[in-house]
Amino acid sequence: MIMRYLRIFLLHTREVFEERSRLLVWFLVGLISPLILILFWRGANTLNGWTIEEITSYYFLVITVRVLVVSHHEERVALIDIKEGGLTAYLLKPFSYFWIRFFSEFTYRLIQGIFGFGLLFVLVRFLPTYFVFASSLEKIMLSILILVMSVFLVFTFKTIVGILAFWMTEARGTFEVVEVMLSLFAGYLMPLAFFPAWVQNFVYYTPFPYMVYLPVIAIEGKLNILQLWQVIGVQSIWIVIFYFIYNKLWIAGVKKYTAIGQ
Amino acid sequence: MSIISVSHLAKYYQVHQKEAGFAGSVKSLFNRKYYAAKAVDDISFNINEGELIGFIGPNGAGKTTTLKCLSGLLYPTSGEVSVLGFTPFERKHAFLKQISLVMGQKNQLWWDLPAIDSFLLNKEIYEISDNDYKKTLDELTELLDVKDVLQVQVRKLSLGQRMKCELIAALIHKPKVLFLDEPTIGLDVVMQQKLRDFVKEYNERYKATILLTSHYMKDVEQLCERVIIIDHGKVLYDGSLSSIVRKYAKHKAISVVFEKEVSRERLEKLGKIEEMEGNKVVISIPRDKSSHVAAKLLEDFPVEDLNIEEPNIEEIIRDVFSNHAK
Repeated sequence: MIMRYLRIFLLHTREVFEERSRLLVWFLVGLISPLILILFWRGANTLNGWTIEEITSYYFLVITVRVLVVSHHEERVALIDIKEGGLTAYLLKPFSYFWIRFFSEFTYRLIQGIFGFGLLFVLVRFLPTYFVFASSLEKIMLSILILVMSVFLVFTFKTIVGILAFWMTEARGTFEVVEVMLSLFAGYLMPLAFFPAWVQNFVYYTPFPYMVYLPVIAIEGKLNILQLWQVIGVQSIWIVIFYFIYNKLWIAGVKKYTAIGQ
Repeated sequence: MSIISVSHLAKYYQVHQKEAGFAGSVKSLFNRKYYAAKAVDDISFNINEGELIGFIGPNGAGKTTTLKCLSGLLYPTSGEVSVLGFTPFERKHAFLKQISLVMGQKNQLWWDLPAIDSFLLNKEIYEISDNDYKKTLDELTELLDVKDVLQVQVRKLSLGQRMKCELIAALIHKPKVLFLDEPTIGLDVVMQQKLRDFVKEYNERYKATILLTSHYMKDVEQLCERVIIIDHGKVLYDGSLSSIVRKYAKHKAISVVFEKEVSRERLEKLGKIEEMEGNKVVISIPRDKSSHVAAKLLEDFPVEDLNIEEPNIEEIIRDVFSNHAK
C-alpha cells in the first residue's frame, strides 16, 4: 500500500527533476521579495527625494505601461510553437514569423493599453491631486515615442527569450528568471532610484530600465529633454542589438527545429 | 522535366535517452545521453511535373520526415534536395508561394473564426489578386461542395467539412507542388472517396505535382500510378503500382470449383494447394505458369468454374515490409 504512494511520489519527483533550471529559480524567487522590502524601507524614510504624488503616479503608471508594452508571447513561442510544433504552419507561409507574432501580440497590447490608460484617465479626473505628469507638449510627445520604442524593445527581447526553446528542453525556468529580472530592474516593484548607487550604476548598462521604468518616469515628467532623447537613443541601440541577436538565433534555431508533434 | 529531385537525403534526430526509474532521473540531471535516430537514411528519387505519387510505408518509416524536408520545414542532416529549382530549407518566399503541405489532423484555420476569414488572411499573405482569389475560391468551394459552411465558425464544423476547408486554405494560392500527409485520416468512407476524387481532379485541372502519403491503400490504388515504398528510412521500391505486383507477387492464385471431388495428389502436381474444401480448391501457381496450369485444369478436370486472381495489393506490400524486416 505504502509502495503505491511512494511510487507516485517518485514519479512526480522525476518530472520536477526534468526541469533543472526551475529548481534553482524557485529557490531564488523566495529570496527576492524580502530583499526588495528591505531596500524599499531603507529608502522610505526620505522617499529618496520623491513626493508622495510621484510615488502614487509611479505605481499606477507602472501598471498601465506594463499592460501596454510588456508582451507575454514568449511562452506561446516556446511551448506551443517550438515544442508542440505550431511553428510548422508559420514556417511554410511566405511571411516573416517575427512580424506574425508581433501583430498578434500588438493587438492585445493595444486593447489592454487602451483599457489601462482609460482607467488612469478616470482616476486622474477624480483624484487629480494624487498624480503628476509631464507638462510640456514636447516632453509628452517624446514620452509617447519612448513608449513606442519600448513596445519594440520588449517584444524583440521576449521573442529571443521564447526562441531559446530551440535549445532548451525546459524553457519555463528561463521565463521565471526573466520575470524576476524585470520585476527588479524594469522597476515593477519599486523605482530604481531606491536601489543602492552601485546597483543603479550597473542596472543602466542593462536593457531593463528602458523597458518600463524610464518610460514611466518620462511620463511623470521626471526627465529633461536631453535625458528623454538619451533614453530614445539607448532604446534604439538595444533594439538593433536584439534584432541582430534574434536573427542569428532564429537562423540557427530553425535548423534545429524538429517539428515534433506535427 | 524533374520538379523534385532528392539525392542521398538523410535526416537524423537527436533523441534524449533516459533510464527508467528515479535513479535514472537523478542521473540525467547531471549527465544526459543522446543518440541519433535515423528517420531518413540515404534516399534518392526524382519526380516529374504533374505526377501524382503515393508515398507509403509503416508508421515511423520516414514518410512525414521526407515531406518535411521537401517542404523546407526540416534541415536535412545530409544530401541534396531541390524542389522547383529551390533549396527548400532556404524557404524563399518565391518557393513557399508555389508549394503547400497539408497534414491530416493539423489545422491552419482559425478555430474561432469562420473559414472564410482564414482564406482572406492567406489571400493577403500569399499576395493573391482579388480576381484570382475569387476565381480559385469559387472553383475550390464548388469542387469540394462547401459553399454553405464558409461563414460558419470553424470549431462548429464536422471533421470532414473542416478537412475540406483546410484543403481550400492550403490551395487558395494554387500551389504547383502539393504535399499531402494522410489527407483522409479519420474520415468516413464516403468522405474519403470525395477527397480522393478531389485530389485527382486538382492534379488534372492544375497540372499540379502531388506527393501523397497514406495508410489507406485505396487512396494509393485509386490515385497513384507510381509509388515509392519506404521503410526504416530507406526506399524499398520506386516504380509503378502494376510492376510492384509483378516484382513481388511471384504467384497467382487459381480458384477452381469442380463438378465432383478430385484427388488431392493429382492437383498437387500442378501447384501448391492453399485451400481445399469439398469441390472448391485454391492453388498457388508461379505467375509465368498460371495460364498453362489453367488450361491444363480445364482440359484434365471436370471444372465448373475457374478464376485466376492477382493477390491483394495490401498483402503484397505487407510482404515487402516483412521481407525487408527479416
